[in-house]
Amino acid sequence: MKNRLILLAIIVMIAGCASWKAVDGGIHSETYCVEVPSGWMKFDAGAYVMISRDGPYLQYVLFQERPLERPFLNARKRLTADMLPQEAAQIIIDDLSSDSMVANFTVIENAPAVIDDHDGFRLLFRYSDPKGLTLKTAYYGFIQGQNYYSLRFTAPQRYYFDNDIDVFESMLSKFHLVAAR
Amino acid sequence: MKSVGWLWIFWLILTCLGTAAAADEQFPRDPSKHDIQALMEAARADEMRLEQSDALYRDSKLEAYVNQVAMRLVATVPEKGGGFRVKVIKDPHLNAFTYPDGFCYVNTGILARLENEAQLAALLAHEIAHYVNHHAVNGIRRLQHQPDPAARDLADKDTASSALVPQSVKCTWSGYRHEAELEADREGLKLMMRAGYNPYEALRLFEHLAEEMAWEKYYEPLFFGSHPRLQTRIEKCSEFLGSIDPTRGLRLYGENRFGFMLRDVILDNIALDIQAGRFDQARQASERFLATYSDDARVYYLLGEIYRQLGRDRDESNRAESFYKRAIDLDAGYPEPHRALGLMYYKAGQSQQAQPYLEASVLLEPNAQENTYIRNYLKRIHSRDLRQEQFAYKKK
Repeated sequence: MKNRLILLAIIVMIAGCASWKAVDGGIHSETYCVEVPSGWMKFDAGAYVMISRDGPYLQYVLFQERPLERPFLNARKRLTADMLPQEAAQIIIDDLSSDSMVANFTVIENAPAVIDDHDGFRLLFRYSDPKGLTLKTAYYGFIQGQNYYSLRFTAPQRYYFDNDIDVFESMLSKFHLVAAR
Repeated sequence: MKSVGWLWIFWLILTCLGTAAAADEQFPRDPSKHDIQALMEAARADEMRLEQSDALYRDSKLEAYVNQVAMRLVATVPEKGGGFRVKVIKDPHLNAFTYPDGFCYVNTGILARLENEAQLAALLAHEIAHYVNHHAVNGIRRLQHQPDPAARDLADKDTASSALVPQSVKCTWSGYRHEAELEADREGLKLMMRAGYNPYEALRLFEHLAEEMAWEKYYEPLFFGSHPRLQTRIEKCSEFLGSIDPTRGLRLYGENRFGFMLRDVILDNIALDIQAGRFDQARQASERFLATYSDDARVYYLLGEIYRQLGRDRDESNRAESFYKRAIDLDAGYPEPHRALGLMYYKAGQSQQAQPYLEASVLLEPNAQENTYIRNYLKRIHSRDLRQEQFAYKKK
C-alpha cells in the first residue's frame, strides 16, 4: 500500500511539473533565440514559451511568435505586414482591453521601440485580474515578414514588477531572430 | 495490509458520496433566509468592485434619465419594486442583468441600439419583473445546487466585465429558467402598459437582439438566452399583445429627451464596437446616428476609423480619407482626425500631405501618448526632405 501511495504521489508530481523545465542557457526556437539568466524555469506551450523564476503568478516572461493571419482572441482584428508599429500597438491594446478577464486596463506608455534592429513598439500597462490583483506588463512587439513577435514581462505591480523589469530588459537586448533557413 | 488499504479508499469514497447526498437531501426547496442573505452580501461585494472599477459608464445625466424611466415603471408596483436602481456598463454587447438586491446593470451596447423611450422601458420592465419576482435568487440557488453545465458555459462566454463580477452575477445571467424569462416578458409588458408605454415596442427590442445574434453568429447575449427560446418568447409576447386593445392610447414618452440623453452613449459605444472589431455594428450605428445628427464631427471621425481599419481596398481607404476630412471641416480643433489622416498619408508614402496633419495633431493634443510615434515620423519626413534638398543641390 505504501509503495502504491508513493507511486501515486510521484505520478501526480510528474503530471504537475512535467511541462516546466529549467532554462538551460537560453531559449532556442526555430525562429528566435534569447539568453536567459540561470534559475529561471521554462514552459514551452508550442504557441508560446513562458519563463518564470518564482512562479508565473509572481512574474513571468512570455515569448510569442504568431502568423499574422491568426485572429486575436478578443478583438476581431488582424495584423498585416504593412502596418506601422503604432497601428500594431493599437490592435494589441484593443485586444487586451476587450478581454473580459481583464479589468481596469490602463495604458501607461505607448511608444516606438527597436527590438533586435526591428521597428516595433513598447507598451507599459496595468490591469486587474479576476482575483483583483493589479498586474503590470511591459510589452514589446514587432512585425517581421509574415509573423508577429511579442515579448512581455508581467508581474504584480507591487514589488515584483520593479524587482525584475531590469532582468527582462536585459533579456530583450539578447533576443535575436534566427535568419530564415 | 493490502486489503486494509483498499478498504480505506472504499470508505473514503463512500464518505464523500454520503456527504454529498446528505447535503442535497437537507437543502430546503425554497431559498432560506441564510441563502438570500449570503446572495445579497455577494451581490453587494460585486457591486462595490464594479463601482471602484473603470467598467461603469459614468454619465450622471444619462444615469438619472434611465432611472427616471425605471421609477415610472416601478411606481406601478410600489410594494415590490423598491430598491431597483440602474447603472450603465461600458460594454458593446447587448446585455442587461439585475442583482438580487435590485441593482440593474445595462450595457452601453443595448442602450445604444434602442430607438425610443418605450424600448428602454421594455428593457427595464423586463429586468424589474425579474427583480420583483425574485428570479435571481431562485436562479442562483438552482445553479448552485443543480449545476447546469450549459448555463455555466453560457455564463463563461459572456464578456460583460467578467473579471469584475465573477460568480454571483454570472449565476444571475445564466440562472433564469426559460419559464422565468417568459414570466418576466409577460410581467414586463404589463408594467409598460400600466406606466403608459406602448408595449408593442418590446417586440422591436427582440428584433435588435435577433439582429445582434445573426451578426455575432456564435455569441449569444444572455439577456435573451438561446435562439429557439427567443422565437418562443417573441411568439408568447405577440400572443399577449394580440389580446390587448390597440386603441388604448398608449404612447412613447419623451422622444426628444431620449435622443438627447443617448447621443453620447451611442458615439462612445461605436468607439467600443470599433475597439472590439465589431465593424458591422459600428458602421450601422454610425449611419443611424448620422441620419439624425449630420453635423457631428465625432461620428465622421469614427466612420473614418471603421473604413481605415477595414482597409480592404482602395475604395475603403478613400472613404476613410473623406470622412476624416469632413470631421476636420466640422471641427478644426479635433486632434484625432488630423492624426489619423496624417498617418494614412505617411503610410502611403505621401509625406508632403502627411506633415501638416501630423504637426497639427501634436499641436492640438500635446500630451497624447501617440505623440512619440508622430514625432518619429516627422523626424523621418524632415530628414528625407533634407536628403532630397542636398541631392538637388549637388545636382545643380
